[in-house]
Amino acid sequence: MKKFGVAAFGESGQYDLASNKLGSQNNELNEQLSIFQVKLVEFARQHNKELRDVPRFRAKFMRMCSAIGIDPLSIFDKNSHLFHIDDFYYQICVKIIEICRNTKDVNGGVISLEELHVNYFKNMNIEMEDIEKAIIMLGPLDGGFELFTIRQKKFLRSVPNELTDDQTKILEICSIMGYASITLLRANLNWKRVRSQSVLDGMVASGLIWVDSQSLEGEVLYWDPSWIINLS
Amino acid sequence: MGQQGSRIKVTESDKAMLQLKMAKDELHRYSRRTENLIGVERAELRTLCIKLKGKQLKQDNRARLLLKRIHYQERLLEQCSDQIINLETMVQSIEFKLIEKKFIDGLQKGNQLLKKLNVELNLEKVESIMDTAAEQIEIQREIDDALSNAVVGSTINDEVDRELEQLDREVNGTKETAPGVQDRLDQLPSTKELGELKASEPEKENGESQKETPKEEPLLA
Amino acid sequence: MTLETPQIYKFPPLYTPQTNKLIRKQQLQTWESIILQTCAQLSKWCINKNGKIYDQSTGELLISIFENPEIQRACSLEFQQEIWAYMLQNETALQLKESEDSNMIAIFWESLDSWSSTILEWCETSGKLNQVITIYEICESDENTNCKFYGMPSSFCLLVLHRLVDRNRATLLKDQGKIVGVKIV
Repeated sequence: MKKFGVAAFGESGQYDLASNKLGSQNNELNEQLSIFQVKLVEFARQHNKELRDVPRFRAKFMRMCSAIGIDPLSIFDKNSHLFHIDDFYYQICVKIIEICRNTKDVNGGVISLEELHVNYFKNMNIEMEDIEKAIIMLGPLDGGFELFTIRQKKFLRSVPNELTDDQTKILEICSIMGYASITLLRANLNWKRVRSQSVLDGMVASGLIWVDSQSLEGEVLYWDPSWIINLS
Repeated sequence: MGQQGSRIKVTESDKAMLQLKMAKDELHRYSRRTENLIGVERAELRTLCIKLKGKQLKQDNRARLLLKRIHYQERLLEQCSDQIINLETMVQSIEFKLIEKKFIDGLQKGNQLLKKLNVELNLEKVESIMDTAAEQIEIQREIDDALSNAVVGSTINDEVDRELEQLDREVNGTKETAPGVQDRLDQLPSTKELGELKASEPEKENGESQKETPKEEPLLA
Repeated sequence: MTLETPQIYKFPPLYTPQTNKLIRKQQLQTWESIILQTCAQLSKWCINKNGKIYDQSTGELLISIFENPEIQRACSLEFQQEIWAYMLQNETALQLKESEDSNMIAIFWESLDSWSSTILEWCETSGKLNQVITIYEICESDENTNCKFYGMPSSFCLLVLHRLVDRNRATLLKDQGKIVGVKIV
């Protein structure tokens, strides 16, 4: 687009100052933050022994990390065994509990391990096995954390109510195409409409599945929110 | 910050500027419109070109008309751009003049202040003040002296010293040295035991200098 | 340019208002962030209530937010109203009262305060303090093409400038009854 007036005479760089200033401030801050992070990891490595032996020191360090917004998990490095290896898993546990709490309103307290891994832990080089180990450690908490499997896919339940058999079967059907419907349930499990409807309604009320009333077939479809990460 | 409640004043010059800038904006809008129009017409021309070719194109009235219109509009656009530059220049000159005015105002205010201060601080006044101050200092000194003389029993040590020395001179008939220096001369150690003075070189061997060290004396310092 | 949308945008039930209260709330939140994200990416400050956004120069439809032809789902009008009501309540959107188009809604993918600070900073760095500038100059001047607020519609800009007036940093100038200029100090 042609420019008119004085601006026609090439880039008037002086007026870029506003966006440049903000941009450079932003860059500076980012730089400082990353430098700080590097220093923090160095510090942790140097004082590894103290951090490992003196729990109060460790606690203070953790508190400092969280106060400035650095996730202690991100400076953990499995291979160099910073601090104590258990702490590493405790941190994962804490994170898992947090995630479950935050997503409870979307998935009713049932989250697939794949979702946990892909959305939250992959960037930190934490593998599935680590997540599973951490979940095992959550066992004694008696807070209702349980791993269960549906058609070779692992899920974590973080609500006290166990899934009934019927509900599990429905989730199994959902794991094929992402949804279940009365027709599908009749076709695969031979359930009568009344039974299907009541179980489905119960699951909707518990927030385990979402309702979709715009299917082209005209009947209501019930979707499993853990299907979302499969969407392109 | 004290700005709460203070309304920002809009001066007459501000209003004039506003009119200027609005005129500039209108021109800018017009240029944009014209530019878009030119773009559209050029596109039309191209489609015409695609339909007709060669001699047909040159003879086609519509094409010729279109092209002439485009050229005319481009000229208008240039004029517009020039006008915008003119207006911008005027805006900038006005802004600069306003700043100059502020500068002169500031200078004037400074001058007035300086004048006022000078009036208060005229030369005669200063001189009389300084004279009075000098007088007072004199008087103070006299008072000091008077006070120190008035106290019985405390005689000034210097006077006493001088008198005693005078007495000493009269009685003992010593040479005319400055009072007190003769005493000090007697305090210095005798020079009998000193060996010959050798010029001290900094690169001298330790051994040789060691011999001399016990005999060396503060005199060398 | 490819528009980025979160994965859940392709989740069919998102377009059906959920009966579970907690999930409903999450759903509305998701729609709010989709709208904010889309407007931020396209730099659109005001959009039509129907969620259709057009390219300013070519006029082509860039996206119809409430419809997703890929999965053949769309939000009902009622649901759209609900989403707008949610955003209006959260003050992430504002109904423009200008007479021209009562179907336009201002979207605050950045808060008004943040916008007013941006304009203030631009004024300070480009030396426009204590001068009269027109609204047209702020949003359409060729010198500002790199600024975040380039292309901002005047109705939106007015909201931002009013915020500056509230902060005692600006005063508005009228011409023939319409606000056309501002003096920022």
